[in-house]
Amino acid sequence: MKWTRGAALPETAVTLGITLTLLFGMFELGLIGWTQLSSDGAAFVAAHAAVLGNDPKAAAAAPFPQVPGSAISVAQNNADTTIVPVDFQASDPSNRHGGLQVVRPWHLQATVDMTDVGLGKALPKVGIGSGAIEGSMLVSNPGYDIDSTSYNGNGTPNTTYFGDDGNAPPYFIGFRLMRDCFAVAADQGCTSSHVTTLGIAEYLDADNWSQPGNGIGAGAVYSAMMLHQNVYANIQTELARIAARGIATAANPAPTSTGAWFDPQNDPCIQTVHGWDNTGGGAQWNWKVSPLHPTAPGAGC
Amino acid sequence: MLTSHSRGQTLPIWTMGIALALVMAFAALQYGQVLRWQVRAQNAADAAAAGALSVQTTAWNQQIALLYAAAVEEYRLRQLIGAMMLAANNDASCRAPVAPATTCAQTFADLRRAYAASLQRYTTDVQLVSRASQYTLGQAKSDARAIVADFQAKCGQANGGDCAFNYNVVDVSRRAGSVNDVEMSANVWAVNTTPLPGGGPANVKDDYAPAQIEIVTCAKVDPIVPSFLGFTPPTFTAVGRAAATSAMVTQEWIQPGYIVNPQTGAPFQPVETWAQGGPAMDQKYWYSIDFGGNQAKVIGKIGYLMKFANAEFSVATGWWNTIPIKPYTGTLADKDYSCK
Repeated sequence: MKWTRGAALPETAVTLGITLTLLFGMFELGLIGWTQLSSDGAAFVAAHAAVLGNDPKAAAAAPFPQVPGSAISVAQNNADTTIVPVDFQASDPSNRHGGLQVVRPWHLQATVDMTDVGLGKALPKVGIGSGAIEGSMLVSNPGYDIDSTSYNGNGTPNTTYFGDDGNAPPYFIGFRLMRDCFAVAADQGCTSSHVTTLGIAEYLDADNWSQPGNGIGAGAVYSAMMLHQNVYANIQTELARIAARGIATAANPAPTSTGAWFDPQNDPCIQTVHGWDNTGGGAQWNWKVSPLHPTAPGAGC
Repeated sequence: MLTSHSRGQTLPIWTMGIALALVMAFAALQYGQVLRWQVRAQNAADAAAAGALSVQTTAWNQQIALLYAAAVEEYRLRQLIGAMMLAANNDASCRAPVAPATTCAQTFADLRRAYAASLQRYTTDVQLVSRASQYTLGQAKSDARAIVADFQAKCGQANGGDCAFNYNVVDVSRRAGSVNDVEMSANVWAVNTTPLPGGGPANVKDDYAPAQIEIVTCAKVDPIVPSFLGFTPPTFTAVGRAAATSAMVTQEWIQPGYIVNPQTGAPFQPVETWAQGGPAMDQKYWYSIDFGGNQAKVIGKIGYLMKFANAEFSVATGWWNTIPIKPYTGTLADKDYSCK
């Protein structure tokens, strides 16, 4: 009909206007969404790269060139604090004296902060932000244990695991002190005792890391444990002999033969055990001497 | 002025607009899809690398725990031997008037029983240490590969991996670079050795060297856009790459006879009394075992100063877990891994 023909212009104008507005709106919305996705991805990549020691901006630039490096920042935040106090001034037994040089995941946070995203035509320009957190495995303070600085502090120096003592094989080092008896006499018991540092067989460090065998056999890492077990088992047989004859008194003196009555002067098993030790004593214990002489021969025992 | 042939132009405008909108929407979805899969691939690789060396770290932790148990037992044996030396020689501390309620013979018998039980436990501990210390680097390598294969096989289940990916073990080996000598490096637990002598890299065989592993996860991902009008959008490859190493994450110095267990309020290893008797001429109570502990003091960066007035049983240990490291095998080619 004739009157409908002239309506095409306003209809087209209205339709086109709405359509273009919608299209531009969708385009801008898509652009913002795309930027948000890129920003999220860049934050993930940057955080991941940073904890591995790579350049976070360079790592993010390759897959996300649309995210400018200036928009990426990386911050390292405190590891979670510990509940139990940690120090090595062992005056308060309620403190945790162990736990020196703990490798803890510090919170490495990558942040992307972009402004003026969009065309600003159909929609206003917006800001886009993303963040990602990765655990950064750091030795909290390489000098913490001996500096006695606060374990939970953030201002203390920290270093990578491979720059500190944590970069080590497994180890187990014992420190044992006891007052031991070095002379006996019937009815007098122990006539001479002093403190000694014990050479106990359980250790794992530079002294046995490279023994050729594993386990407890001859030439193995823990061969000292087998040797010690054998000596202790031999001592048990001595105990049976002592029990059978009765303890040493003036009226029932101990035999003077070798291997009797736990006499350090003539009992090769006791001498073997004492041979493992460091009897130097002194007011200040030299920690470096551990683990002493745990594989001393047990001849005659 | 509109003519009759201009009447149908709204249709192509709408068509083009909708087509453009659809293309943009699909492009955005596809982009999101790519990102999502890349993140997923990386997370899968990270998790697999962290878990793959767990057998080595667990084996070492078990070994250290067993060493600790055996050390406690040996310390107990040594204390009992010392006490029996007194009792076997009728020391004044185990008879009247110091100990009127007992005799040295009775004390000796009690100590002997305790010694027999302790020796039995120690023998068991030694055997357990023997078993737990057989672990080799070769086993660590094969275990790591087995764990990764298990992630794949049990994907989608508890302790399994991500079913969407192929898990490729690119390398398992002894960690590159030297490791520190704890005994000397730590010496008296000073950090590094300057000016203390004897520091440097540890001489350690492969079986006690930390392992490292590198893993690649890969999947060919179909596009989110379907094929249409003969056009088939290409697949893309989601690749994750991660590496990890066994690492000593905690060092401990344990004084179990001194440090208080917060659960009980008593020391972790309280005093044990195995027989009756009083103090001997040196004022020591030989028939009780005190695991002791002495106050230590830190002196700058040199180490510890510990004046010992008491008995002491303490151990220094390192406890193990895995930590992520930078992939270390250099540039990878397609042949180095397979995709699902």
